[in-house]
Amino acid sequence: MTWMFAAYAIIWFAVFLYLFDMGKKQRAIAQELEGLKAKLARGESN
Amino acid sequence: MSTTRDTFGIVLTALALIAMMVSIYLVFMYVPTEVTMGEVQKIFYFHVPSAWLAFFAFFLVFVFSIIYLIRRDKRWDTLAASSAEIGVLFCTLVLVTGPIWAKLVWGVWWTWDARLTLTLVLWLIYVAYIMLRHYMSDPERRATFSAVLGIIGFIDVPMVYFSIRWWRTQHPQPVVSGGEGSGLEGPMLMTLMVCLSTFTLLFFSILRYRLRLQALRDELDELQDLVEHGE
Repeated sequence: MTWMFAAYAIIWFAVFLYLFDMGKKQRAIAQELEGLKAKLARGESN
Repeated sequence: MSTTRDTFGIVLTALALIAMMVSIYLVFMYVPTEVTMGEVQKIFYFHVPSAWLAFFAFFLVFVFSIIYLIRRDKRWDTLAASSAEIGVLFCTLVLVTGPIWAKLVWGVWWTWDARLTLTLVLWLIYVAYIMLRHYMSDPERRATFSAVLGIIGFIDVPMVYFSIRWWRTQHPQPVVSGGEGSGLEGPMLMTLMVCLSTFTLLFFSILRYRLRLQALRDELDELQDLVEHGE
């Protein structure tokens, strides 16, 4: 039973780690995107 | 565009999570324990769907790569790359859960049997695919080279599938459509089908997130280019 739980735990840990990593990357890119957009808007207004 | 809330993605993820709870209930509470192997056989309900999803993901890489080479449209390359990444994730799960099962049933973690070796080769092919994409900076060349690898690499998928029919292996024979003597009892088959559907939902949910991430990356690259070159 312990090994079976280990197998299932590994599956869920791997899937959620992957999703978490994607979420982190998405937030970082979105933040960088906002920064660039603001930079561009300032450049256009000057 | 990409920073807006993705309602369909959220619904898909919620459905995958609900389906996952149902699957866990079926595996741990509903389905009877197999007589010969005992409780450890229940790894089967997630090991097999992981393998099917890996095959499905690599099949998508194969199809999208062919379409990319014909149409030269970046969207197909993005779809192929995203599918490959998720395929590697599920293939890794197969290579992790398989040895746990093997250790308890065969007494060894690993054996260089045709099915196991070809699965490891499959994993290495698509890890190479991801590495190739990572190290090539020219987008056109990257897409073309990886499409070729995605097409050639797929040859290993039918080999993995048929290996247990072509060669004498330690890996069990197919339990569904495996000929005389194969087959699953009703509750076991039903649980396997629910788990397969759950993993498929999970696959599309992850694929959607992965595509969204890529769309954001592309948007960022375009804006960076605009800021640096003013074009």
